[in-house]
Amino acid sequence: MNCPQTRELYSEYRDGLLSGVRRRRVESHLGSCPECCRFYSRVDESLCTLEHLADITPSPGFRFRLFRRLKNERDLQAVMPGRTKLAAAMMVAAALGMFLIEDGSHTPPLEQTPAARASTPLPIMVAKASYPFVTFADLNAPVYEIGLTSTSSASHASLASWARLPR
Amino acid sequence: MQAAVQTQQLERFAKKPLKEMDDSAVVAAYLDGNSLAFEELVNRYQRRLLNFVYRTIGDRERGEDLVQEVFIRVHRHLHRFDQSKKFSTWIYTIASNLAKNELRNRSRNPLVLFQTIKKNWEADHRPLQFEDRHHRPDDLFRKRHLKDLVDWTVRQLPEHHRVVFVLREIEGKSYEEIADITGCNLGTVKSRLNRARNRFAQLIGPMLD
Repeated sequence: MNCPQTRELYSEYRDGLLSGVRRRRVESHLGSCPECCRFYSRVDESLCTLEHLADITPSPGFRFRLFRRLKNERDLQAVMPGRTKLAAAMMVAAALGMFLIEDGSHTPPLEQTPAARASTPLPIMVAKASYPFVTFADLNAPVYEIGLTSTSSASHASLASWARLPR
Repeated sequence: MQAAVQTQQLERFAKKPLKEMDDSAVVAAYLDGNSLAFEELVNRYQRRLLNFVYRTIGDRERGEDLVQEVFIRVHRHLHRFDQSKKFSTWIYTIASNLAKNELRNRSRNPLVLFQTIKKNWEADHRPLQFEDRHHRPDDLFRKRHLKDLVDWTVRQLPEHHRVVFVLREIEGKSYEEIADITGCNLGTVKSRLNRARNRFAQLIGPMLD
């Protein structure tokens, strides 16, 4: 066992939580490494000074202030149930109102004539050999197909007409 | 009817006094309607929690406010406390979270930090108020100096190390309890405690010579 490993395990060793092989290894290292032995003796000595740490006690008014706060808390809880129900009812009414308003403002889809549908172009998905993602092409721009350069105007027109198929 | 009342009175006499009950029995007594049981919980934990919070945040007055807040929250949520768990772990968790929030808020508000430092400086420079005639003056001086030194050194530890250090070295909590209270895993608790102890020794060691 080396110094860093001993450092990792020292707290558990000191608290008696190591057993068997690991405990013996730490003890063996402390016995053979003067630097670690000196350092951990200093750690033990330092921790012993904690017994000089005096406990502080609550100030004289602490209990009085606490029980006054608890009394206020209990009085508030006695009043709160009624208020809580009222608040909950108001929230439900507000949510219902918003739902009704939202429902009323939603316009049903217009019946689309083939001409109307045709004027709305669908996006064309385009794949490039060198690009791992599918993108959406501008209908007016040249379309690049896999393995091909820009298409002829005829095939471009056919692609565009495919995009305008009725639903 | 009279027999039932007499049986109840006998049962009440047969029950242990609150002071002799463990925490879970006191909690159960409070939830059964015994209001004195909450006072018993306050008696048991006020001093320990105050010391824990004070050592963590370094401000006694604010520590008292936070401990009161702990008891308010316990009072509010005791009916939801899982009685199969340890009450002390639960109450220390609440205290630890409030202390951490306090430290976080302080680091964001320099004015609060300045006021705390100023208050602690004034407290440290208060003269001794009581004379102890049973000990030599130089012993008293040395003791007071050592006490202040230890206090100061604990406050120098980084916050997340300090919480673990105080819970282990001062509150005597086990590693598992510290893991539950701080919400860290056991490995993290061991590592932080190790570093805290080493850092404490590095700070105080030279001053002990």
